[in-house]
Amino acid sequence: MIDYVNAVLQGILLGGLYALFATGLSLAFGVMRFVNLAHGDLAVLGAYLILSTSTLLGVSPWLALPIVIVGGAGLGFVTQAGLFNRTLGDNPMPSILVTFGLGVVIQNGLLEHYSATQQRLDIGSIVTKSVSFGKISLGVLPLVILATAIVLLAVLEVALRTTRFGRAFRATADDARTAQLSGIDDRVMYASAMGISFATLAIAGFFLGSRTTFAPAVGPALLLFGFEAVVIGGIGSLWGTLLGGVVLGVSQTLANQISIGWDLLAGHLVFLAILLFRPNGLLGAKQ
Amino acid sequence: MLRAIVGHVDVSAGEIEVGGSSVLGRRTFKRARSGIALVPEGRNVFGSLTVLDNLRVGAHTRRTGRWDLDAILETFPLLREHLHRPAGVLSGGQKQAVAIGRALMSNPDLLLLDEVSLGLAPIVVRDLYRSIRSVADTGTTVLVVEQDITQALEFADTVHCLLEGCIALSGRPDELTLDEIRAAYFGTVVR
Repeated sequence: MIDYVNAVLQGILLGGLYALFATGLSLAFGVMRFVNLAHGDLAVLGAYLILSTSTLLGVSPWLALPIVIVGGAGLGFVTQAGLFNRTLGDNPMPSILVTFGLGVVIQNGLLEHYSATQQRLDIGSIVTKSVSFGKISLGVLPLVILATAIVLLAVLEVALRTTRFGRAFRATADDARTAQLSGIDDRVMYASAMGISFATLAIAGFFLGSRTTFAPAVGPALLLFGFEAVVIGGIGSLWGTLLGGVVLGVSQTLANQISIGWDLLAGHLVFLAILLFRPNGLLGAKQ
Repeated sequence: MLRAIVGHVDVSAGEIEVGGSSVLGRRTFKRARSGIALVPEGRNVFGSLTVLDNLRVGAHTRRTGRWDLDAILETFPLLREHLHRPAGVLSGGQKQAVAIGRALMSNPDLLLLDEVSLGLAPIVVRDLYRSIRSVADTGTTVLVVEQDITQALEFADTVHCLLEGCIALSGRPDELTLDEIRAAYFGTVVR
């Protein structure tokens, strides 16, 4: 029994990483209906950029993180304004092709520059620390990751609800053409959304790279988990994304507890079941 | 025509001037910031936003003037009790009031209204026109495009009748007869 409790708790913690990773996806998808297939590769790119920044400046990845967050926000804004905005329209195909292509470019660029060697971010002794409750032991780093995901989502949620910018953001998501009539530049809104999305990717890449090893090719698998978290939780709902990440994480660890090696399949099956029975997701608005 | 003025459809030929300067080549949000507000046909409110947030979005042009939240609620008192409800659940007339209120929050020099009465009960339309009239009395230029003209005629200063894109008839409502307007509208000769 205690093993199952442990599996659920570990799953919740794993879900924190998925949620962190899916936050930017949820934001871009929720606001723009923009499918960013390069999202996974961008997270890996984030991890590599933190690695390089940290090596270059000779500082800990913890100090490199804020630099890459700020740089990522700028890069996201520019990428949306200069590239992705040109693909927007009623037809989703151009954006899918462009982001897919960008993903391939990033993967091969990383392979060229960093080689296929597995890398890891060395963020100090926190990686091996854990807290124990009886027979259950929880890693400090996964706890920090989950807490970061919750704080990040809460900050975004409050910002969307209460600020002038957030209001313009929600108005654009509701009806971009009508938002323009109120003097809102939807293109700037999209660029800002992608800036925030890239900034969250820097954080996700940081924790990804410190929790496990990473290599140029792991992006697409991450993308899949991210999308599943967004869809399970409900498109357009930030808290739903957290819930989606947790549901996905718990399904994987529980299945693994029952029979080793079933984790990935179980996660996908839960995702398909949700699509079948609750197509709008657990917390998604009814269309 | 209104969509062309705000820039939602492209103009292939000709010129659009508002207040003496051309608006062509400027994107919709810039035109909005320069004082052109449109209430589109179909009462487009932001359904998931509260009425209050809908009105606040209108103020995003950062134009100041006599229209603020209090002034809007005075003109459309029916909105007061719905401020914190999502605009999507309101009735047609209430949505139209939200849409007009949102447009007014931008303190426009020119307010464009497309098919105000479409799908609304005559009594609601009457109230809306009374509010619109009071807006026009404050010095804002109001342009209403309307097919159901009986109520509009009562509140308008000037009427233009368009036939195939050209003005076929214009004048003050009290100088025109319904027969003249009907003839201009359908392109028939007045007998």
